Amino acid sequence: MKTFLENLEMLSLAAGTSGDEAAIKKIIYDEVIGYPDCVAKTDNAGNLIVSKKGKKAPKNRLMFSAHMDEVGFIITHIDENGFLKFSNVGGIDSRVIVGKRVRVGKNEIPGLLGSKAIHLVKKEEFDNPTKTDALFIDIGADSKEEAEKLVCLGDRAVFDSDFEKFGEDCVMGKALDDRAGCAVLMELLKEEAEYDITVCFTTREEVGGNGAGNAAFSVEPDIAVVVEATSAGDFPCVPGEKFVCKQGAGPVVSFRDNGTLYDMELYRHIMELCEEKNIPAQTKHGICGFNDAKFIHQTRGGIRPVAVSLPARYIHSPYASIKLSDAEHTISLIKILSTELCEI
Amino acid sequence: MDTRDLLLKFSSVDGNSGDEKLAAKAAVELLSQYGKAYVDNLGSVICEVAPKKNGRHVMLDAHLDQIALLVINIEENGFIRTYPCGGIDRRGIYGTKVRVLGKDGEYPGIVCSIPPHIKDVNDKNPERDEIFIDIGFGKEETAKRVRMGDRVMLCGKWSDIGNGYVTGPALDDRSGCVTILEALEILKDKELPCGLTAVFSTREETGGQGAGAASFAVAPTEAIEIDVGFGKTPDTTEINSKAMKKGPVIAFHPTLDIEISRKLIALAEKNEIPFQVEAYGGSSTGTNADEIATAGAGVRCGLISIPQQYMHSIIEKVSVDDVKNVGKLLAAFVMEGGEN
Repeated sequence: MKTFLENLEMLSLAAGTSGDEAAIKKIIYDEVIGYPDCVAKTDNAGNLIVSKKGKKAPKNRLMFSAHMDEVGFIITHIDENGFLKFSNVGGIDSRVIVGKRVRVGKNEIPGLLGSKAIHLVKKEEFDNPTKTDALFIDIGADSKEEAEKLVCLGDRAVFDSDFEKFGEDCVMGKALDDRAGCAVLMELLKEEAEYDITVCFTTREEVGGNGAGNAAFSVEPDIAVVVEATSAGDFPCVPGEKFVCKQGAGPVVSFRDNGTLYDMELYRHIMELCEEKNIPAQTKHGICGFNDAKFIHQTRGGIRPVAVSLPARYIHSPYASIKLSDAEHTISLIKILSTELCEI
Repeated sequence: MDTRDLLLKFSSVDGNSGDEKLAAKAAVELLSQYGKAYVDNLGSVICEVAPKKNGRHVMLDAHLDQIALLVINIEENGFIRTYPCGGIDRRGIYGTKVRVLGKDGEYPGIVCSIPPHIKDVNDKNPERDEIFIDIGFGKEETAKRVRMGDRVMLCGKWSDIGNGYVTGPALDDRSGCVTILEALEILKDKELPCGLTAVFSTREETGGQGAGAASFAVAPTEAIEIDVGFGKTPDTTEINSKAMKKGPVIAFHPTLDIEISRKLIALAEKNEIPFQVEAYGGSSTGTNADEIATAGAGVRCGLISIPQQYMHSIIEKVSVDDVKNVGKLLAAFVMEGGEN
């Protein structure tokens, strides 16, 4: 059984953009299949659905979910000189991609997200973010034929980032949104459960896809808890009112985002539980982003939505960061919810 | 060591402008086999290969320094405000991994980036003084580890890419240094017809002060500057960039000695070294040639460029063959450059 940190590192390093999550699914499957009372299956949407047998049947059927996919790039064209054109998979600001290194395709060959040198850039181009369609990926090929031997259209590219602990209890790496959520839910599966629960590792969240909705349709829960990594804006350049949430202040419990109005009764109950159990927690300030709850809560006759997120800085870039103390508190809270919400 | 290994190894040693100590130490080790090598007052490495002979003394120069960031303040909550030390590309600096060269060691960090979920905060590229680093410590802990003026290196990976290319940070201008090492290796057992000094100079990215001072001290009769030049990409033109793998780029510019430029072309042709030619105007070559040509009583100076894609990024890319061919041309210039 691997530790939380070992799982997170493995998941962060692996490549799995939206619609191409197979490598992530395999890592999770190979690990959780050895955990007690877990049965795992994959569905037509590519989700991994893990049923965990508890000591008793719950009053409320409970589903947890975290998405497996990450933002990245899809190769759309190879030009006559062997340079690759691409589109973004998910929301990526050009200011995090110009001049970065990526891994391209199944063989993960190195690629360079190139642009002309700054010396050749006009002032207005230098002040305004570069248009993504002006960029290209260089794999070191000298011709179209040479490039075609290494890359096919539809191949994906991800940031070529390593994973490292740093500072006071922090880790950095790519795709922590939402591999951190996946690793948190793997912790939940490690121990014997009080009640039967279902944990879904879902697909296509970053492109607003419906992987989680499909999973919820099959699982038919009463309550769904989405575990995410959400934008912490607690750093310079972000005006105070846009800070959303803070690193180091514990899990973020949402009452609203751009996709979902969360169940207020459950939201308040969870905030009270945190206080009672001495788990630091915060809510999401301001309304931004959305997550799998958007699709889950509208499934079948409706599912009561809950979102618990890890505050993560610099998501959707080559290096995001989370604080391990936030991860520990999120794991504690999720474990409590796995019994409390079944009984409520 | 073969050219590829030398490129990857030498470019992975830190050496930001004004703080080139580590790179200089590596340079002294690499150069010592060819002559007495030492570090001068501005930190440049000077290697005396052969004393002046037949009235001719050639100086070969490439710059040792690389671009990076400089700590200018420690902010609330421990974030570090930096300023470019050399021409940092602000278009893509967000989300870059960095290493802060702090008081008692290196501290990994991230250049703060605003996620797309927090909209309308700033739709411009960051200003030079708005590049913030997160090393994961609060203000007090950061202040214990990081000092004003500490350098912040941009992390990248050094590797092969494609067929015959290498990529990574600082290939501008360690590639130039490697061309000089290539030339010295070719010349190693030869009787030189002239004096020869190799210089790996400091502070090019912030003005070229190292090369100016070294030229004054060496006082050569002629010099060749080797730097990287713009390699062709889909967003450049045939005029402002040159092809990769098509050999050294020999420059014509008002600052440069026209006879040396012509001589380099003749020598490339004679020795069957592939080459390209660039000609441009203006008051500056944008290289150390400007400082060398005007040093002391003046130095006749030539300029050779190695085509490089993505200059001033962490994905700089050069062709190993181009580097080797520049080395051959430099060796030819030392041996035959004085002939009529």
